[in-house]
Amino acid sequence: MSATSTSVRTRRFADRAFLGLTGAAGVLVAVLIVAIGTFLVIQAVPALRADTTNFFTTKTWNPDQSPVAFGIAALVFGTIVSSGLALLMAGPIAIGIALYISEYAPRRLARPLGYTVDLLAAVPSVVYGLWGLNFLVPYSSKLQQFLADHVGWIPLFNLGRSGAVGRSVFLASVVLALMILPIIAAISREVFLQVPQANKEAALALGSTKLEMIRYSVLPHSRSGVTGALMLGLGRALGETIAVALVLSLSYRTSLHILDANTGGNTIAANIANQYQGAEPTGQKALIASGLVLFVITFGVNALARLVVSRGGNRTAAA
Amino acid sequence: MKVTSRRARLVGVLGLVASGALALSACGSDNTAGTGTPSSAGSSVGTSPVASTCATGSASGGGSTFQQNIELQWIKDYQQQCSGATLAYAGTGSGAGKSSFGNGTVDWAGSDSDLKASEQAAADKRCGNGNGTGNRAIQTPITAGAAVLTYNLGGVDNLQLSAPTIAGIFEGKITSWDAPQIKADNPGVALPPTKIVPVHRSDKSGTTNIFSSFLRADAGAAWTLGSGETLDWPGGQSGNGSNGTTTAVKQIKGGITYTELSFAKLNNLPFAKIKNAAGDYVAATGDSVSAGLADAKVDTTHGDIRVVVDYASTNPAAYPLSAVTYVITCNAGNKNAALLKGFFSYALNAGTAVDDELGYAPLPHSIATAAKAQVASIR
Repeated sequence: MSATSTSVRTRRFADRAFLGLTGAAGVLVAVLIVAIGTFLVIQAVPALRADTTNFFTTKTWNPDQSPVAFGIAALVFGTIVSSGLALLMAGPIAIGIALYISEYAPRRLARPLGYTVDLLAAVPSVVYGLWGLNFLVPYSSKLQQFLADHVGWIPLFNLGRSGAVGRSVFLASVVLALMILPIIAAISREVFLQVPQANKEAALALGSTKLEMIRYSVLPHSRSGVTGALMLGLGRALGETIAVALVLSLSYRTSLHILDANTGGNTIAANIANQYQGAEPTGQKALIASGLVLFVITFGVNALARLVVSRGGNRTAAA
Repeated sequence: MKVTSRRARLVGVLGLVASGALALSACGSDNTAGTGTPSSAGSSVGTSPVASTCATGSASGGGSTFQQNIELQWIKDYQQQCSGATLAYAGTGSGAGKSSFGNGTVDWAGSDSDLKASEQAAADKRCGNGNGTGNRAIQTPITAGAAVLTYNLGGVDNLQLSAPTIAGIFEGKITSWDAPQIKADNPGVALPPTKIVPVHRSDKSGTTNIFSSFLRADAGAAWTLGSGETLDWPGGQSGNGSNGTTTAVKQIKGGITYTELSFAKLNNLPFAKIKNAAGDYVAATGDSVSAGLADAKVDTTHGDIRVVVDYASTNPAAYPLSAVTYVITCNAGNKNAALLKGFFSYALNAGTAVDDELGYAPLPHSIATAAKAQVASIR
């Protein structure tokens, strides 16, 4: 009798302890986020006060000179353009890879392919950066020049008067695309594999071709999952630091001539990597202020993704 | 099916490429290690300069890329002779060096630009100033060298440039290698119509300061960007550190950048002769740098040694882009004063033997004497 009650008590205690531990882990994350946000704000405010120009519209970055003048216009522009382009390049290819692996590839090919994609995701970003700088820059220059020569009438690919191809925003986007491709592909593959076999077989039984089956049963069911994958990829691209700092010719200019390395560009994260070591106290705080902006942007992207995912989810549920 | 198998192959290729990247980065680190060990065996065994005073312990420095290559050689030689001494130097740029010294992450900083008031205050504080001591941070000239204009222009390797032409190139006003201004500097040289791609430093750089100070003094109205460790460049590409800019120039046909003579030599890039105030085009050598610094003034008003280079020296043998580079330490209160003294006195005496081979030049006699005395007083 007494033995049983002890064991029940121990079990209850273990249960409660476990609840406490997991609860603490959950709270810890929330505390961390709040702590980071608070730190960023506290550090950023003195620099923002010292700034004599408009922080949001200024393109230059001279926080350690007098008068103190810096702003994030060029950095935010570059961050969004390079990450957006990367998502445009990587998204379709990654979803294609995932569909091929989950729907088309024979089993003995699907597995090694899946491993290769996962392996790509494990390559450190500095390696992508070094590879981009030493291999991709020289070898992609011909392609970039070709684009500039033949489709240069599209403003996006125009080189301008003194333009030169090479370490351009386009190239940085290609490197970013390569980096986020495996993440998007790996998650999308898992999502596609979650589609109930019954839905697929029903489509096929109704006489659908494989393409129609994918279109009408796999994709709608996976919509929110794939959106999540894309947003995770975008998040990585937005925050990517060293690869961009290595391959991009950094400047504080904004231009939509994405092939022009003479115009170059910059991102918030790359600018922090490039400037932090040489920054004086105000400069360091200014960089932290830019970090705060990146924090907010990433938050915004996540919120947007959540919105899209929840709407998509509702529609599927309704259907 | 064809399409899909092609896709499969693409993924395979990506996998291969990724492993290739690993191999490439391995090569990269080999190269970096090679930077510290110039190939010619002359300075290593046998004729290795002898250190006068050996001290033990460890110290690390960082900053100026201008003195990076000679620092690495000195460290190698000094450690070989003085077992028990461990030294390290990282070429992070003068701005980074001064700020790391200020917050105490390095024991000495390398810098080619003077401490600004704000930097001086941070560095003084690190040395213990304000805690009842009069400790200060001081600059000591450690070696001299040349900033050069190095370029990648196919077969052309005998370029001559004047200050206004250089200003025009870096301000983006001269855009082609066969521009009349460049032709005027290079009579009889066949210049290709290649586009000019000027490359500048993206980080805070003492080399940028040297380069822009020279242009401000010598280029007249053609140079409008002022001088400093960072500038608001109107165009051109950028690279982080001297490795970054020279890598860019190696990759870009038509590229040109300013860097230290030692980097141009190590990368086998040609460098231009520069027109001095006497009207002569002079190449960067140990002798022409010494001539370029002969008229330099010494400013001792900060309680240390700051050299004011006369970029407009009318000495016909002077190389105009000559510069002095410094180490920054505390005058007293250094963490490992004996080692710093031993190492810097080695650098100023026996260490000058490697100058020529690495692309540096000895300090003018009077400055060297003052520097040695200052090093001896470090506590």
